[in-house]
Amino acid sequence: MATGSGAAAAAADAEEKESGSRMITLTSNEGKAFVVTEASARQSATIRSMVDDGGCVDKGFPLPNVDSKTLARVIQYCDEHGNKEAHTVDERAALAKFDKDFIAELDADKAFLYDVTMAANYLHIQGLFALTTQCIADTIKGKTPEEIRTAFGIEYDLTAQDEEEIKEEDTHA
Amino acid sequence: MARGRRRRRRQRRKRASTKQLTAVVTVQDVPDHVLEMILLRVHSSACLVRAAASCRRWRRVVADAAFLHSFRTLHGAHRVAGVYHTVDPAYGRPLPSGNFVFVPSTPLAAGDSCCFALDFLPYGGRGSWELLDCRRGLLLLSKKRPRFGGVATSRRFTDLVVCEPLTRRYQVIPCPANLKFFMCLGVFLLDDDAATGGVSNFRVIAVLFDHHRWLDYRGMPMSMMFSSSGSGGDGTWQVVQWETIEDADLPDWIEHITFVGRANGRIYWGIENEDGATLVLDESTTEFSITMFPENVWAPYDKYTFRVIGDGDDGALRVVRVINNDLKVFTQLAGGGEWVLEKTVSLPEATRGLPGREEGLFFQHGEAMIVAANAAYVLVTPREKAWMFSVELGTMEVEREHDRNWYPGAAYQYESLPWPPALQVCTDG
Repeated sequence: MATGSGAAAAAADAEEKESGSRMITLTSNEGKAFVVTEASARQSATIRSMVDDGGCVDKGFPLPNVDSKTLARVIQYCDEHGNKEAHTVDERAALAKFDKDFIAELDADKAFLYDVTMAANYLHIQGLFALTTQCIADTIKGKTPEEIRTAFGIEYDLTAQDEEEIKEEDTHA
Repeated sequence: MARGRRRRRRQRRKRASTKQLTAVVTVQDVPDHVLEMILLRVHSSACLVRAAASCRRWRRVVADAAFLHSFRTLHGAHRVAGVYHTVDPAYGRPLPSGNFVFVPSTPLAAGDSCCFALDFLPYGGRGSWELLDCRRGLLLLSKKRPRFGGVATSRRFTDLVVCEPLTRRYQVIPCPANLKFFMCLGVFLLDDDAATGGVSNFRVIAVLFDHHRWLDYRGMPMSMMFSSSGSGGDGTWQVVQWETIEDADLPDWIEHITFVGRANGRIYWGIENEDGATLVLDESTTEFSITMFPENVWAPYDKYTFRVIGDGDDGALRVVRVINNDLKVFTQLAGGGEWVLEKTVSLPEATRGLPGREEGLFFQHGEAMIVAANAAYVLVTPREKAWMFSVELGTMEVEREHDRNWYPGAAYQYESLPWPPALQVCTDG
């Protein structure tokens, strides 16, 4: 029995190792295919669960909610975090620097930043989602409501009628 | 209940519609649950409050009880506290930024400081306004009038504004045309249960002065109330007291009537040459009366040496006097009883040796003047020269080092409400 379970564990380990080097195809909503390592793809909890459920690894994964440009950028992040080790201090510092440069570049193009945020949300890439939402939140930091509206292109829609609504909701409650 | 269901439905609809989205152009295209994640990462509640004041959608997301709970769990409750100091032109040159300054008692988060500088006020910003009162996270300011040298001009009733620094919201209260030439004894934010605070929920009382209707050479107080829309008002001044009141007549010269303090729910005005008679406005009933202080407390009366204080830990009413350059604290025994001398300190003695004290000059030509007084301390200057020092009422110790001595004028404690009422209203349901 003991040897049996040990062998099973070893087999699973080997499979795990093998799976680490497996390649997975992700297809954007424009039909463009991106081939990534499984380690990279496993950064996404969505893909991870599909792979673990024995999904169509060979046929690839169509991603109808992500366009090519966004997907390429998301993969850039996943490759960095999935394929590289982060055990030593230096390795972690290198990864932190990557994140910093990555988000600085994204921050310059707000519309693209929202696209990447949405993709990270859809694909459940926790690290990337944290990175982009924090970046957007930092834009709010230290700003007045007027400045926030300008920074985000929000239309001013608070009116006296609005106050009425609060009052109305209050009486309903 | 109905509201909760409606909101959930609205949210589901939003989420469903965003399933097929591809083109996210602005932050408003991001679905609610993602926006929530973004706003949860805002570092302070002061910033969150401003984010909530930017548009209806953000306010709705922030005001959600579950969201606020998560936010508080993540960041804890953040409050801004400090003191608004004012400069009385009688004692000091106005500050470059106007007659008031905010001194925070806790470090301000980035971005808070510009809010407390009140740069968002209308009609040319904070320089056009003077601070009159501060309550429950709100400030009351009056429009500066051009000064023609006469003090009386500055006591005219004017346009007012009530603002909430943290959210940078304000409401202008215009002076009605028929009241433009009335003299004003004071304007105050009321601190009562009817108003829970916020720029949409406050009450302001104005005390005006007019000639007595049927007594010659006498004056009388009148009052008006402004209730904001959230506290049941229609955005106009309502008359509270416009007729003569039995036994509440005043000298017919406003210069003889001086605000001397606000304590324990009452507002006091000292009256010259009337043997200790003091005009009192009860904040809860809004009724005027004349109170007589006993002679050992009021005599000799002088508007610069008489202040009423209260709101201390023991709830007692006190009068602070300068008599023969002694600072004296009188207190009224419990139950509205007898007045007794509680503490006294000789100002010439106590200030001896302090830097800048001019030995042969100070305290030689009259009583020292009380610039401001509150439950904690009294700000005093010798009459001969503006040289501010404060007397700590707990210990009666004199000191010159504290920041509060730099601003010769009333000081108002400011503390932000934990959450702006606009949000509170949404979450209370």
